[in-house]
Formats: sequence, C-alpha cells, structure tokens
Amino acid sequence: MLIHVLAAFSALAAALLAATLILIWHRWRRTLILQNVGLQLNSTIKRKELLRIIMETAAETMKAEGSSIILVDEEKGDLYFEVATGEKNEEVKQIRLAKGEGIAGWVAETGRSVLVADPSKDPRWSNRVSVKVNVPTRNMLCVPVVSNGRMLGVLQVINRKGRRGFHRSDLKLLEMIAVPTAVALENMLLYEALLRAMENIRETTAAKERIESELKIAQDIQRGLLPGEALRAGSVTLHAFLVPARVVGGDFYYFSELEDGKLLVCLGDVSDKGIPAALFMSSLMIRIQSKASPDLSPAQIAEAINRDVCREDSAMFATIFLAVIDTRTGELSFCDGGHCPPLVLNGDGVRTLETAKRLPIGAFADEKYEDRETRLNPGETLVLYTDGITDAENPQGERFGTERLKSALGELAAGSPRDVTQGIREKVTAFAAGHPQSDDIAVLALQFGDKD
Amino acid sequence: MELTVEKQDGIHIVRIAGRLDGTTSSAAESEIVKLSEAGCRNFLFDLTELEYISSAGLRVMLLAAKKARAAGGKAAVFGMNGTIREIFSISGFLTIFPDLPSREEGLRHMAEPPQT
Repeated sequence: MLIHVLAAFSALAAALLAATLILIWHRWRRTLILQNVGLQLNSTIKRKELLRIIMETAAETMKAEGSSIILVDEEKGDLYFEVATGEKNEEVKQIRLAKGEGIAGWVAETGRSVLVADPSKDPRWSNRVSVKVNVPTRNMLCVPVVSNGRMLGVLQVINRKGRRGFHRSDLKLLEMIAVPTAVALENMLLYEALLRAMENIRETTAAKERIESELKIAQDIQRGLLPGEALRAGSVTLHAFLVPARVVGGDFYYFSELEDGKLLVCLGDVSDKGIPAALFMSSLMIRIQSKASPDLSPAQIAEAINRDVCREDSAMFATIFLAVIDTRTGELSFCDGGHCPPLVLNGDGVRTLETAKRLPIGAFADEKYEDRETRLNPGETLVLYTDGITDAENPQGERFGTERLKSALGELAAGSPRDVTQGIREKVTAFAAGHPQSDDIAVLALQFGDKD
Repeated sequence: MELTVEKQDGIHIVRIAGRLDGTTSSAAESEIVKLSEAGCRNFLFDLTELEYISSAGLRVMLLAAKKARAAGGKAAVFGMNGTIREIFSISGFLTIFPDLPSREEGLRHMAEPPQT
C-alpha cells in the first residue's frame, strides 16, 4: 500500500518538477526573446528602417502573419501607418484612421490592450483597413505603445500562424514588446525633432545673412545720398562726418552751392533710428535737394519741404537746422526746426547761435519757420551737430553734454574744419570708452575765411 | 514705463512715468490711439514721474497733439522736470504743449476752449 502512495507521490513530484522546469524554460526563453527584440529595436533611429524592424520583430516573435505599427499624429489628432502592398511590396500606402476609429483607434484612446478572437463579433472593428490592404483578418492582438505617459502609437499583430488563435499569454508578450518599442520610437521622434530644429537654425541664419547683406547695400545707397565730406566754395571751407548707430540711420546733412556765391547747408536728425528713420532720411534728402533754390529763404525752403513730408497718420519727424551762407561775405541766414543749438567758434571762445525755435519737419503741415540773420567773421567756424554727440554715454552712465562739447571746441578753435570734426569725433570716442554708440552722430564744421 | 489714464472734470489726464523711449513708445502709442478712437480730444499729460524721453517718445507726444488738433481739442503738459523741459524746449515742442506749473493749472487750461 505504502509503495503505491510513494509511487503516486513521486509521479506527482516528477510531474510538478517537469512543469516547473517547463515554466522556467518558457520564462527564460521569453526573456531571451525580449532581449533580442530590445537589441533589434535599438539598432536604428531612422524612421523607415525602425518601423520595418518593429513590424518584422513583432510578427516573428508573436508567430503572426502580419503586423503594423500605427503612429499617433499629435498635431492632427489622428493615427496613421504605412503599408507595403503589391506582390513585391513596391507600393506604399499611407492609411489614416480617425481618432477612436477601429480597434487601433480604441486602443490609442483608452490605452488598453485588446485581443480580438473574432473581428466580425467586435463592435469596435472597422474593416476599412483590411479591405484596403486586401488581407482578411481572422484574429488580432493590439497593444498601446506608451513612453513617459505619452501615447506614441499602437502595435498590432494579425492572424496567428498555425491552428490556434491568440491567447492571453500572447497578449502579455506583445505588451512586453511594446516597452522597448516605445523607447525606440521616442528616440526616433527626438532625432527627427532635432533634425527639424537644425534645419530651422540653418534657414534662420541664411535669412539673417541675406538681411545683413541687404543692409550693407542700403548703407552704401544712403552714403551715396550724402554730398560728400568736404567742400570749398568762395571763402568757405567745410567738413562733415556722419556715423549711424546701426548699419543705416536717421541723421543727415546736406550742402550744395546755389547761384551768386550762395551755399545751402543743413543738418538734422530723424526721430528714432534704424530702418524706418533711414527711409525717412532718404526721402528727406531728395526733397531738400529738390527744394534748394537761390530764390527762397531758409524758412521758405523748410516750409516747402515740411508741406511735402507731413502726413496725417504718421508722427515721424526730423529736426533740422537749415542755413544759406554767402561765401563771399560770410552773411548767414538760417532757421531752426527743433534742432540742438548751433555753436560758433572763434579765437575768443564758443558762443551759442540764437535761433527762432520752431517744430521739427514732419510735425504739422502748416508750420511757419522764421529766418534769422547773422554774419560769420573771418576765421569763425559754425559748428552743427546732432544730439548723438551730446547724448553719448560712457560706461559710468555720464553724458558727454553741451558743456563738454563747448570746452572741446574751445581747444580746437585754431584748427581747420577738418581738424574740428576729427577732434570732436576723437574726444567723443575717448569719452565713450568703449560704451556702444546708441544714437546716430553727425557733425558739420563750416569756416568762413582763412585766419590771417 | 507706466501709462495710466484718469478722468477728472471730463478731461483725460494721461500720466506717463519712467522712461519713454524706443522700447516703450509703441505701448504708449497704442494707448493714445485707443483713447483718440474712443473719442478723447483733450490730452493733459502728467509728466511728474517721467524720467527720460527720447525722440521715439516725442513721436508719441506729437501723435497726441496731432490727434487733439484734428479733433478740435487741446494738448498740454504739467510736472516736467528740468531735463525733460530742456528736451521739449530744444525740439520746439513747447510751442505745441503749454508747460503748466501744476495739475490745477492744467485742468483750468484744458477747460478753456482752444484758440483758433
């Protein structure tokens, strides 16, 4: 009797041992499979290749006839996948599923895995896809592919090979395969995002270079509108310089000889800086040239320019000092449109020229300008400048200011107009001590008669 | 830059504080345009806390003066500090913005009809 019990017991024990060994063997084999899958999926980040590897690996591991990896399009909110069709797989179709459409859509939305043993009995089933690819579906597994809480897509396998359909244990295995799949897909998406960002940078840099080269050309055109740096006419010598704060600017000066030994001179500053100011300055330069006439006084010239330039909808303006000098006698007639007070330099020092202050050009079309008269004595130098000089700042935040300008001019009294402009330029540069130039700068020095 | 609008005795008092320059002027400009489109014709500017104004800032002031004039109204300022006053003076803007010594004087000035 005991022998029978012992025999039964050892048979049971042997069976249990065998079962355990088989279970362990299955687990070990599964681990190997997963390890292999992981290795395969990490072999590439290129989309086409990776998707192909995912599908092949899934189908092979699950012993399925076919598989698909269906990706979520986050922008459009739907799903898509590409299927190779035709005998030689030459045609590729892209198939799109609406959000929630079919089993795949359901899995993507709910995040739950699904085993479909009989599609015809499942209300979620949409045969649109199988009709398109011409493959009837007998059974399928579908699992979500999620990485860091983000639904990347859906992995599905169809038509298990052999006689049996898919079991729950197969679904579990596919879920495990979905894990390294998610990692691989996320890497692929990151790689593609990186490529897009790099392309973006390349395009932006190219656009920036195009703008910079156009600005350089604009700078040349703007320079071409200026009448040059120096002039000698009658007993008058003048010298000017202009440095924009950016590539193009709003400061301007102009001079041209009129009949009867008269010389028109003006200097000014368009409100603000950069491209809008540069465009306004350019149009202003052309108008000054066209209105300059020996028959009009400075105020009349200013009024004519102003009427042309004023616009109801714009508040752009330009300060201007405009003068006509008789190069033989030194008589100076001038008007002031909101510009900084000009200075007159001679051996005794620097004095400020009194003007009839009016609004800048471009403010109100009916603005009336007023002429004043004076005379430059032999050796005297009229100095015109823009507020880029007086507003120049140093790293400590101090302004160059009018007082410093006057005393700098005092030191340069003995020089030629070129000495004066160069001297001012050097002093302001030295004062600024590397602090970036924040406003356009222009200076014009006009001397009547040589010193005797 | 801070721009606040107060209504007193039917007059819009526009207070501008801080710096009115290239970076802050477009915000100020939109406010002025909004006020003007809403029918405001008289602009009394409170500049007691205005520290700095650039030519871009002057453009905003000019725009207000233009809108006021076009609508048959007036513009004026009060509370300018020395630096701001000098800028207004050099640029000729004192010819279009009466420089009033106080808020009360400002309101009194605005209540008078504009000279033709």
